[in-house]
Amino acid sequence: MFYNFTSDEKRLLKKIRESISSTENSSELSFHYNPTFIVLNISEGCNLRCPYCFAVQGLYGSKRPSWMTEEVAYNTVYAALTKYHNIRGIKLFGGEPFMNICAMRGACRAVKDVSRNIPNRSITITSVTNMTILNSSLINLIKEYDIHFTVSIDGPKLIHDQYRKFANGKGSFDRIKYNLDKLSEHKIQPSGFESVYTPFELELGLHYEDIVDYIIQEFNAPWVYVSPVYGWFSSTEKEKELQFANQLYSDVKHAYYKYTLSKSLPKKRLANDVIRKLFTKSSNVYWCGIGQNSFTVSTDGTVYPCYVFLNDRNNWKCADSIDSLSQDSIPKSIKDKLSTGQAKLHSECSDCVLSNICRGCPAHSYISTGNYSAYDQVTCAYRLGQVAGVLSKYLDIFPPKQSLI
Amino acid sequence: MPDEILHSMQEELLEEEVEEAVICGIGDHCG
Repeated sequence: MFYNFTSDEKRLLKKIRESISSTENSSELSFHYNPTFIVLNISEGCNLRCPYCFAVQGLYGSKRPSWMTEEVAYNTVYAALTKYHNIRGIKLFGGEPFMNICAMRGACRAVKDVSRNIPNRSITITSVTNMTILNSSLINLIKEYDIHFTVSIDGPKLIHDQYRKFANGKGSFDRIKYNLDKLSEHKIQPSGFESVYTPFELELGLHYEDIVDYIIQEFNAPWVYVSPVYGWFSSTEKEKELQFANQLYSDVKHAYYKYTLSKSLPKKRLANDVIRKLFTKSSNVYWCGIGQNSFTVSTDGTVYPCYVFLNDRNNWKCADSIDSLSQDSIPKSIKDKLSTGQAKLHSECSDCVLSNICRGCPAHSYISTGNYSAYDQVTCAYRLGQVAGVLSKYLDIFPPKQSLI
Repeated sequence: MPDEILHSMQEELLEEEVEEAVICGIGDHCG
């Protein structure tokens, strides 16, 4: 797939990259083992049954759910923070992390204990929740440890309840709305909302920006991120996939054109997030830093490069625990796989205008196709549409005849 | 030279340090 940027858009993108590229060519890719971010997968189980879930109903391929104990959570986080001084964030993840308040508490206690000993060290605790579970203990925990959390919601009730159902088939929208109101009474606001956008929404005539608008208005969202569904189409549905990707590119470009320099802060943030990426120096680590900067710890304390690989544990285990994790503990077969470079080094991405800055998602690609690369038709259309929208807006404000001479 | 554009973009980034929401998305946005 290749979306043609205009020559002015390409020239502008080139200028942006040149403006920050003085060190770009000198940064050679290498395996930089430097953990800065730990995902604690405290719940490998979920109370919802979303059909598009990459974690397969939160079970990550297991037959039964499993839950991290408070002790494993505490010991893992304590060991990680004392061993790796560059870690600035712990993400409580799942499955549904709010189903395991014991492990949440263990992780939070460890952060507090380490912070007490090193006062100037700032460690943010984050989480992603389906927001169907809330009680006074959770509210107290969120307040006490200033947990930043993002709520998953797919849009209006009709859309949301189509996918995000409890095991009994009932939609979860009303419960989430109730819980958000409860949080509001306690003056707690989610730091963001995220949605999965599927072809179903498009069939109903709801375009990308309709979902963004709805979430901002309905939930007063400070940050909203609507991303396209991954792996929706089967290998025999290439034509349908292409149609959806084309429509998405057009919709996202149109939306980001409007978000650029918008007076709406959440919308402007979306555009600025794209600008920030355009100005990001090329990384000298592979892909997103998977297995070098970031690691995931499963419920039993085992370490993997990313939570996506919990779907294929036998092939991706890096260490028995954070204690035993080291550059040498990571099997050569995994390092070889992780060290396949960046998008720009892959043939399918080499012509793409974003190949220098795209971090891709090789884990998702590997799990769904067996190919460790960044390419996914729908995701690529989405990313390219975002950039095209922002660039075209600036080019309209500063017309080429004046600015590109 | 699209200097005006580059300056305008950089001003946008200086205006506000935004905390990026943590999500379970893919690639550019999984952090």
